Amino acid sequence: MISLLQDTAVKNGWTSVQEFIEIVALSQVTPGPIAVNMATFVGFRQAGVFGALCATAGVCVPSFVFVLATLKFLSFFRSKGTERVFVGLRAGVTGLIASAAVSLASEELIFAGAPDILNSINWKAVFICISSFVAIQRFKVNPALVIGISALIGIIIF
Amino acid sequence: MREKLKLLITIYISFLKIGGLTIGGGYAMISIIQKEAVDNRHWLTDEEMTNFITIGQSLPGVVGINTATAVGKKTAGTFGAVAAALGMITPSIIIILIISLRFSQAREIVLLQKAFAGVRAAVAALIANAVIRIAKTAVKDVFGIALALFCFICVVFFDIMPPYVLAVCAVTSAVAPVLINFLHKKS
Repeated sequence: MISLLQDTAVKNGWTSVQEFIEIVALSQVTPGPIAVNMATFVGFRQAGVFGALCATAGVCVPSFVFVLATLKFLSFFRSKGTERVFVGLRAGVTGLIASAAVSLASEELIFAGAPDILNSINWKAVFICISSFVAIQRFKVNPALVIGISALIGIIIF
Repeated sequence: MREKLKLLITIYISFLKIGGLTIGGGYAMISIIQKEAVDNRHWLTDEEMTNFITIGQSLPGVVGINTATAVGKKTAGTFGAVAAALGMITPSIIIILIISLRFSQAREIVLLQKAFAGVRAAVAALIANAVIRIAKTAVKDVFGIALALFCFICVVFFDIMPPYVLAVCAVTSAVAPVLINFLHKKS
């Protein structure tokens, strides 16, 4: 998706490649779906608030169409076959999300290019990660609250 | 009519919260959406939530918007879908517009970076939590474990794009019973 956005934005002369990389970085750290953030950014630079709204609406429309059509389809054709497809997809998505957890953890908890194992572990991040996990899993703390508290802890310890 | 309007507003506000707390893409949102839609609001069961997350991840489009649309549609029809999607994008628009207007206030940016470093470490935990919860309804037998592992390995070690891996899972799962049946009859 990001590479597709890059193609569109750079080809049309809306941003330079360098600018685009900055936009991606910023979109990843600001709240909201990354694609929506990027579209808003590019749209705003190009045509102000109205451009931002148009670009955002643009990325939402396909989602809308695909999801509503799929739900409609499923309500008509609830069969053994579609159920089997879903069994496979559900299991696959579980693996997919697990892979996202692992790649994020390896980015955040380990320093790249450290000389040895002990020095490569980002202990502060490990502390936040493990205490967040225990808080949500064991003590059923609201994940939203965990995010807020982690932001505060981040400001204090990093 | 009033009831319906009230429900739509509740959906909008719920997804406003979810959108505002989604940091680092669609995966971070899963734990929060599970908590809000299943535990707090009782709009759907864990099982239905897993199905919608699956639909959201498998279809083209923005994962967050896909999932929001599905939950909104189930809860309050097409207007519910619109309310959910609008809620999801409102924080993005407001925050990006603010940043675009007054960008590069150096001190604020350093603070923000520290806050987000903390948040990203927590998001890894949030996603792990989502995996555990989804696995309970999504992975029910050895076949499921095999597919989940297959997906995980393909993406982590071989860098294969998720849509392809999911397509393989869907086809394998649909074909497997037919194949087993066929082999069974033959022997």
